[in-house]
Amino acid sequence: MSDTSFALPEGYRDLAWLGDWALPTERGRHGKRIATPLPEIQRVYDALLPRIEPMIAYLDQFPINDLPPAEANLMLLALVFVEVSPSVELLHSPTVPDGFEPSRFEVHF
Amino acid sequence: MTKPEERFHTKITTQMPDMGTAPLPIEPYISAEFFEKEREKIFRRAWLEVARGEELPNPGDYVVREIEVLKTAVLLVRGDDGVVRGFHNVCTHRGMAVAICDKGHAKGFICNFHGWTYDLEGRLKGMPGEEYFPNLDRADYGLRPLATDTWNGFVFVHWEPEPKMGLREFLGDMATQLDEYPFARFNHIARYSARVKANWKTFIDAFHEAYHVMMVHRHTVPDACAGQENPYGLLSSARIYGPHHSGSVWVNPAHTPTPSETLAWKYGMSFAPGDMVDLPGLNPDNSPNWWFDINVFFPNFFIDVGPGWYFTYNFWPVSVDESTWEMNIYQLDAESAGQKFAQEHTKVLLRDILYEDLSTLEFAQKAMGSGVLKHLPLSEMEIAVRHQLHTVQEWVNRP
Ligand code: FES
Ligand SMILES: [Fe+2]
Repeated sequence: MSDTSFALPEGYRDLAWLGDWALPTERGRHGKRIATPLPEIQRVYDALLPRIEPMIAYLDQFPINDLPPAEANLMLLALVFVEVSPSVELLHSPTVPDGFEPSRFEVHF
Repeated sequence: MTKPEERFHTKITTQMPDMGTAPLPIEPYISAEFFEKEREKIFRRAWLEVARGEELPNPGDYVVREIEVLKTAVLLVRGDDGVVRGFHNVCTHRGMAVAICDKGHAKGFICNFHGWTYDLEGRLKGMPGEEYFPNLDRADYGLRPLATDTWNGFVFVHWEPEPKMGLREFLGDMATQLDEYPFARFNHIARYSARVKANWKTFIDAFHEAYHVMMVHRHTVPDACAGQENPYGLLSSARIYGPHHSGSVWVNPAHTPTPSETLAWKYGMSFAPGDMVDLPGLNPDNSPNWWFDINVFFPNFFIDVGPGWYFTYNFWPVSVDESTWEMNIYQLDAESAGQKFAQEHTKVLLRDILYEDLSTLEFAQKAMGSGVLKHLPLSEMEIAVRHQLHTVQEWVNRP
């Protein structure tokens, strides 16, 4: 299910299958996380964890507020890692166990 | 039970009001009559935080805030002179709203009902068919103002157009503690909100003690502010400033960071416990194990400040057993990809923590309303809860 329309810099194209996760807002990424089963979230986490340090080092060569399209997508994948990390590291669940009802918790942007 | 031998106590560094030690009564949390008194004696007599000045940077920028407890909507607008003014969003002809969007930019306001026009300072400038209002003086029909003032970029309004006490005097030493904190250097990175079936004090009380952290936050940060040395998460210090108060949350030096926390702190600042970033206004009592400060502005506004981030809560009563809550998170500007990553970590971790904080409120409110509980026994660790109700009762009982 690799998606060729999702542009990534050379060296990161193997992550193109994560294109569906690279939503531009926290609201979107969080919505995706809480609608995805934990094993799939774990797969996303495992794919990204070892790549974060080289990704950030690579992205730091560009002006943060003016990233080219492929680099902007790569930055979004770094943010996807942050979004899935509590589920894997802390919650062991897509949503917060025993937490407030997600449909009543508004994430504005 | 006797208290264990402790190496640790909350240091209370200001004069304490006499608040007693009895359990708290339930009635103020469930009585509709008490709620009406709170509306009149508290919310119509206190300065209320409604916006950050950056939300309306230029002359003509405006925002509208619906304030259900005041039964009004406030129109905040920056005038050509740079001053932010607050008005009831009500046309003085027959009451239509003069601004119908939540925010925007305008040269003035035109009422959509019959076309009366107002300038940015609220003056009535034009009325179609003015000659048919023979005895009306336009000067008497400007927009109805609320007192409006700004402290450190936070915009407050007061129901009374000429309150007896100015904003700075009302904020007192709570503001002094934070006068130097550089709020203007921060970016707004997140906004969350919810509407909950709980009294506004039930809601607030879940946020200004750390006794709950080990249990409520057992999935997210169970070891962050409690540990062997401080098993119940006692605050490292606390201060009472008239109606307001401030507590410093102790950090557990033995906290084990997760891989994502470690990465965030490698590149920037996270909400997860980590390095100290020295900013004026933080850690007022120089606690060696300091995480962040919970600063509570009476009656319903929090500014929690930490190393490189701060966040605010506004708790708004709707009725005796319903409230709305809004959280805004701010962090020092991200200048690199790594700092952007750390910013994301701050808000994502905080957001998931907040799902936990919101989980107890409706149960607690229901229990109080059922009559099962007759009073609430409070520990010394929950001093902020006692102080909040003490102040509420004091204000409600004023003439
Ligand atoms: S109500 Fe506004 S012009 Fe009539
Ligand atoms: Fe909490």
